Amino acid sequence: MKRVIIHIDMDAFFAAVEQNDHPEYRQKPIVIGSDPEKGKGRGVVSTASYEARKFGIRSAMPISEAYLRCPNAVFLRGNMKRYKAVSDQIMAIFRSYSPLVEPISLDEAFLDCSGCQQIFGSPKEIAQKIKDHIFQQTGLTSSAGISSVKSVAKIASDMQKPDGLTICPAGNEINFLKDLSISRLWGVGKKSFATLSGLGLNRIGDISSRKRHDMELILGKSGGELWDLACGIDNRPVYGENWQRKSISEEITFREDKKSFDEIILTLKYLCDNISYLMSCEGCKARTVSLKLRFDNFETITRSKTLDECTRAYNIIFSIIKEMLERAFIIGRKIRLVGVSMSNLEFGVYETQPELFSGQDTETIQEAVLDSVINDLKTKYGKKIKRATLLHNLER
Amino acid sequence: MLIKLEKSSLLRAVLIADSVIQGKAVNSIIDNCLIKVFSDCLEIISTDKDISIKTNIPSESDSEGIITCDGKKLAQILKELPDGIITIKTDNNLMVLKSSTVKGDYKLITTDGEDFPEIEFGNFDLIQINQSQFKKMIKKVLYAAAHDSVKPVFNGVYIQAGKNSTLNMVASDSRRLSFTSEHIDMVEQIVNNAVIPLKTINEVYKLLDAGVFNFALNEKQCCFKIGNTTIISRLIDGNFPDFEKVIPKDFIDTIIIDTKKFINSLRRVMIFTKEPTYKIIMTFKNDVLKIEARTPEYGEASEEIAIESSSSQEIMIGINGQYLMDSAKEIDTISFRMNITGAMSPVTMMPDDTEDSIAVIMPIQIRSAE
Repeated sequence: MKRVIIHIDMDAFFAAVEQNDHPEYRQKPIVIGSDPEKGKGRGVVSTASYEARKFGIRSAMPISEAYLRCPNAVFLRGNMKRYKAVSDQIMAIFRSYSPLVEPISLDEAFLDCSGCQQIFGSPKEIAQKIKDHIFQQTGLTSSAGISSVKSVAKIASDMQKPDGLTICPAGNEINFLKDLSISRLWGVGKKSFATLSGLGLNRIGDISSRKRHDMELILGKSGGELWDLACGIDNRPVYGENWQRKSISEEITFREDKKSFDEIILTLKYLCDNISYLMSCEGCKARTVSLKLRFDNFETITRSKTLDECTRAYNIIFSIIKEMLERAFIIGRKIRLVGVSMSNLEFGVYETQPELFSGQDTETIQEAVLDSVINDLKTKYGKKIKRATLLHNLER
Repeated sequence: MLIKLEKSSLLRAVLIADSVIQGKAVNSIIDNCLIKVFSDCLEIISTDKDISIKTNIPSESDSEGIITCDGKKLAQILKELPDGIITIKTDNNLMVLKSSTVKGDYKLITTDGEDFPEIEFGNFDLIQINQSQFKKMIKKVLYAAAHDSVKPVFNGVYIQAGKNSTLNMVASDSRRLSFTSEHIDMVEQIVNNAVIPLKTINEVYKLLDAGVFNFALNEKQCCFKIGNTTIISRLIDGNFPDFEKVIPKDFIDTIIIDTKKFINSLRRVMIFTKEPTYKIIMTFKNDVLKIEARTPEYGEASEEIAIESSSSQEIMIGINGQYLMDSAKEIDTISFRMNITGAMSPVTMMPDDTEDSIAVIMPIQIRSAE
């Protein structure tokens, strides 16, 4: 049976909440982000209202540029507490329509409504009901995309913003996607766009009309994955609330491809530190450590190691990652992305074999104490708390 | 150069050399075997930077020189050739092999041996050890070593000169440990202790056979001269933890078990265990040992075997069945002793006639990932 997946994305969420809460902001360009400092600010735009978008202001744009484009806009620092409260309301609405809700961020989620037609009607009717429900309760508009797969539903929700509802009938994915720009595909950022564009691949149809094998020849394994997405093939399930994650990963695409071992290892150090913290937040440990490297030609390799004992100790994760990088590193070869992933996760209680020499190993005990202190500090003061070894100019 | 020699001896020497080569150093000369040609013998040498190995074989040559070649390819062609005398002619980056019985030419690419790093097979004060005795000792501990531990000292075998001319050998992956000790003359002459890398021990184990071999140690390296082969290996840096401290001395129960019955029961019950802990539950009560395994996906198994117990108290221990199996297989007596120190503390296993070989295994505990 074909799945019914609905992706709902709130329209200019933070800005819309502000306009809703403050009638004086309505119909005005609103920019949520860091302080523009009269055009000298160094932060970025978080959300721009549709009025501000008319001036060409976009998310992630430098705040100084936004100020330049529209100095008279209302610049706000944002009120995360309020946005979270509204988000909770919206997520609760989602949950009243499907048990399988996967929140992606405060303002968007996937819903698997495959079995819900009997209760709520056709997919289109369900999506419209959800949109109306949100509007009645919060006064905010949202856009919905409906498809049988996640990636297409997400693309669809973005096609008729704001207050849109777009359906891609099951089986019609290739046709539906073919005229869209490849930049809409998941994983195609600015740099990948340039690379693909250089190969004459501008529309999604340029990819789906080729053979999967050809894409693999050009881009390696990720080429095959890109072809799948271009054809609307995406078997990823919608992960409901009871879903227990199988892995924890972090990756960084460099602004500029890097070939210096020292710079790459520093970035990996940063990722290992984050991963260790994330695992402590999730209350889990992992037995398998994986390193992911993507070279400048998109060739992607992963190296994994499975340990006897599960861990989230920063120094153990990092020493394994470093060892794997030393083996996989090729001098002169440029790297565009690095990632660290932990899998074979253990939650709650698990069986383990304690060490015979644990009483003699003071170093490991001290490291564990250090990790827990650092993680507590991060929880209290945020991610700016970092290890002294990371106090270099870390370029992301 | 024109060299004449027995094919089988060359093949053996090349295989020994090639087993050390990792083959990962792209375009590096040390992926090759080095062949030193003397008028009456050849030395086949290889190295992976940690271990270097040299085998000396008799040959006849019209001149002297050194070359390197791909050991794998050389071994491949030698394997396919019939036994007997072969001749090797070297010139201009090629070695031409000819068999006395097959009509054919095999030209293998060679490189100049001068670029091969100089390997010092140095002078050591060697002591003599019986090969089969040492081989037996390695076998008793090797299984307990870690292969890929983050703590390097566990990726090797620890040797230590003990009291009264004994040599102690220990391996551990930090969750279990295996210890054996044997009398060896003059052993106190070697450096007090060292951790020998697993790869080196494995190479040595393959070469050990009958007769005696020579062994030496200094602060950084160890040396084995076995037959016409010499191995020089780096030692693992770091201190092996105090293993004697973790071998329990006081027990709440001592049990005698029939070795074969134990292994057979364990083998059947273990079908119902799974990685990575292979957990089984042992319950000792009134001269009966109950072995159980339960895995939700597979089902469960339970067996009872008669034992002799020194205590009437019931004790239940969760333990890694594979660890028990590994240790039990190395026990060569009809029955063995198992000493219990508590549900959460180490179990020891040893032959019932000696305390010179001991296995220590830590039970499984329930821990929290929070």
